[in-house]
Amino acid sequence: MDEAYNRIAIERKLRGLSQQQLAEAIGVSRKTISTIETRRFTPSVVIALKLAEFFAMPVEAIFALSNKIEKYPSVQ
Amino acid sequence: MKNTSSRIYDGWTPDMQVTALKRCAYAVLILMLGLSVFVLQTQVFDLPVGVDIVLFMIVFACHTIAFIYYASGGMLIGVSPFIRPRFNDEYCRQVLFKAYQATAWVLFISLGLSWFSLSYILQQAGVEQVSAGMVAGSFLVLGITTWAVTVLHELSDTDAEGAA
Repeated sequence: MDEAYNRIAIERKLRGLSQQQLAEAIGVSRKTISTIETRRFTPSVVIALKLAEFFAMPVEAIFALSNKIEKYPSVQ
Repeated sequence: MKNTSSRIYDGWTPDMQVTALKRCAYAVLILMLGLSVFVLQTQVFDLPVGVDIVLFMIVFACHTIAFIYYASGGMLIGVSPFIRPRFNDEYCRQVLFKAYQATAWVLFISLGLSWFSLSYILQQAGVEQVSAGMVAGSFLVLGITTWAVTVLHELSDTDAEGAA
């Protein structure tokens, strides 16, 4: 089974947020965020869309099947 | 996540669900310890009265601690303490799914092994007869313990931010 890579930890740190703050912002537990970041858990489409909306980025800029996700120029 | 809601039943936050699940698993493990001591006390050994009293106190303590642990996790929050609140956090649901999956596999494999080798093991141990209740109880303890261990394993904090 293909593994989904993500840039959540990078985007979160670029915005100076903790896992707890991000979790509260999208309405999930901190454990959900930490396991997504460490790729122990692949989230549903709903959470992926919530994360994309929060980071103001397309979903494919955050999640991908390859670990070569293109850097999306959304963060100053 | 802090409970800052003004409504009384909105305290069932995703983080509270994780805490409740973890405490429920610990409570189940403590309860299984108490149950195991109780079974040993009543079924296996012919103990002196003093040891019997100490074991009874251990069993009582296990049951009390398990209930306190279970109740303090937030599982009794909601409209009625007799209705378990729904886990809607995605990771909690995933953990529960994995725990039930592991329990099913362990029970399936242990039932298969019992089918082939239980009579031989009992013969070797010198046990002439075993009640159906004891066998069912053993599988119950095995299944519940597997569930609790899987939940605790899945909820263990391995990331640096969570462990801090």
